[in-house]
Amino acid sequence: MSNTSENPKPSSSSAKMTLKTSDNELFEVEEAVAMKFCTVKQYFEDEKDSDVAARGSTTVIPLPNVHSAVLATLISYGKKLPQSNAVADNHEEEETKKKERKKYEQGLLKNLMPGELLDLISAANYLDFKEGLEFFNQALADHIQNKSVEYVRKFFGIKNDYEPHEEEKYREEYAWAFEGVDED
Amino acid sequence: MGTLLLHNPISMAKRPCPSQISPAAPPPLNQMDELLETFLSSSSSLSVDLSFDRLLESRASSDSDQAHLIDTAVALGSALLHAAKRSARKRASSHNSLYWPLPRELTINVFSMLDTQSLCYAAAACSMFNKYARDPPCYANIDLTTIVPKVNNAVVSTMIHRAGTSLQSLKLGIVPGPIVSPGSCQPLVYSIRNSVDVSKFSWNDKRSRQGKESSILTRSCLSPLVGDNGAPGTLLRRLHLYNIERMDNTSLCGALSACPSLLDLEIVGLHVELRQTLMSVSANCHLIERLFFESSKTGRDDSLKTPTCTDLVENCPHLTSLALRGFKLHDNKVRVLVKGFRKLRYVDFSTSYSITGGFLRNLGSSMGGNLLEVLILRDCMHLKEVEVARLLTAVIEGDYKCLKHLDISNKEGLASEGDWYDRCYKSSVIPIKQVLAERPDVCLLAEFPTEGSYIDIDQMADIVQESDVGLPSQLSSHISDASMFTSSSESSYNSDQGSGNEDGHDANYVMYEESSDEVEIDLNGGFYGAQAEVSLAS
Repeated sequence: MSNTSENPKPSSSSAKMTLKTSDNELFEVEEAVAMKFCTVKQYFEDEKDSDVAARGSTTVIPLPNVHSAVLATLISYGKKLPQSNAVADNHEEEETKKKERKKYEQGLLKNLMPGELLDLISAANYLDFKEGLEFFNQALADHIQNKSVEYVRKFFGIKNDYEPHEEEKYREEYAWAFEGVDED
Repeated sequence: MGTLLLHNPISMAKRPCPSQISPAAPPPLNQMDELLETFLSSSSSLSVDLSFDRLLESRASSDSDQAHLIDTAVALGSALLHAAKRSARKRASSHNSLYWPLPRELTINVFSMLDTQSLCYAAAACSMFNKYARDPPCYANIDLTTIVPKVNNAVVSTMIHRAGTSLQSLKLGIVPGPIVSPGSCQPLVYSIRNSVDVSKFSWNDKRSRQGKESSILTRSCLSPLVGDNGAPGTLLRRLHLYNIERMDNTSLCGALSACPSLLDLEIVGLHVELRQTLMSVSANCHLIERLFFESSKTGRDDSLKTPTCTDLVENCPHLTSLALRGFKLHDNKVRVLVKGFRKLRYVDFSTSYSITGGFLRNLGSSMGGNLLEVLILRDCMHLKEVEVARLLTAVIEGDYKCLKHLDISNKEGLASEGDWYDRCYKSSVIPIKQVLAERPDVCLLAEFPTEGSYIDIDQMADIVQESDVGLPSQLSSHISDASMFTSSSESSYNSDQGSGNEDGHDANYVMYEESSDEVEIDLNGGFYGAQAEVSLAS
């Protein structure tokens, strides 16, 4: 697990922040990206308010609920989002960037295990990372769309706790739904 | 009693009367605990099996003893099984609630992104999910459309009630195969023909009818929208209904009266009258932006009247997308609509009867026409070649400046000026190539009959030019053979449907010729550039 997440780009904002994960890994993140994590933003702003002059690069923000692997992915996703302070691109550049992002997103989701996806959602929620939350929530929904009940259980690692008569009643009530779905 | 059996098989054998065993009081709890512990820790399924057989044999002398032993074993075995399974479920429940990492709101958020069927699957996975899946946001978008009849009123009612005030979108009915999106360039005969076929399938097949009475949506399937002081319907934004055989005018209008916030209404294959439905929309759905209406009786609904059109235009000023397919539409009435809706961008009158295209004259440069982005007049039986030519000329000259998509395809060709029975599509009259040249921003679909199937525009123009002389006459000889029409399925044109415009039409033509500029209808008197005001009789 690498310590620094990226090399600083000279053109983007120079302020960096350091985030510390639950497994004590340190991540140096550009301010623009880190600010998308509203929890971090709040922490940073609280720091600013205090009397001590906060120099962003030396403040280490603890994220005890986030594991390093998860944070790495969220940071990487955050970087790929259109930056709010970026110069407006012309239409063509925007299109190319969009395509790149789509490709990146697909690659990201392809090899994701269900547990990892749930972790990402939890972390995005904890960090109040709206775009990430939306994206991974949607990814999760897409994963279980049109899949059978057994698949859903296996995918999430949950166990059937229905009483037999309950399950029977349920299947009868929703008989319309229980036909023609891929077992996968 | 069982314990006595297990513990003292020998003394059991000595006991003469089995009936003395049953009423004995159950042993105190700790003794049972010990027994069970011993039994469970030291037994294997096989040893239990063998042991039981031996016990049974030892009572071979008494048939009633054996019977009793068996009954007891079944009873106790079941009790043990039941207790064990109950505990297994409890453990599964607590595993689920401990293991599941997402808080309630997030889970519900994910569930609300699922389509209705997948939501039912998620809910069936475990009781925790079932609980989450009952939350109103999960039912904001209810999609109960199915390929064959499966959903009944009760299902609809349950879901609408669960949604409560979160209900935003409701789709109901029979949709054969994937929904053809109205903006697509696919032939829309698909949806009409198939809708007729599928409904025929379910009602003519007596066996399926009997078995599936409980799976049928009846006329009151939408009444939950109206119940509870209409609360569920109040915020409903989208309502799509497909091929609900039993839906009638009263029920539909009743439902619409409960949906004042409706933005998007799509009705396909319902046995409802165009005029009554539009009147109901006019009266209740003032915010409506999209209206997509496809007739269940192609070409036979002639109910539209001019006052209905003027009312609709007045009361629903936000309409941007209008599709009326398969109705008998007269040019003057359609003109009221197309001119009157000031935000109208999307128009689709495919498979309409009676309209000749005259309604488009002088429309492209003024209010109501110049915002049009999509105009679809596919397979309109009475659409005249000469009117299409006029339209295309206007497009070449720069009118309809927002136009992006124009579809004038017709699988029978266009109607000639004289007898609509004569079909033609000469490229010398219809300037397809020029449109492509002058207005490259416009996607023009002009599929007319040739040998072979779909040909793209460039090739089409070439072929039409080349076989200029040959094809039209071939086609008219086809057409004079009446069997050509009747054989090509219900959705084809009824040969007795005259254009219906003929009587009033000439009068309209005269009016159009007289006013060199717009023919304006004085609605709120706020139109620019009105040169002439003519009131058109309905």
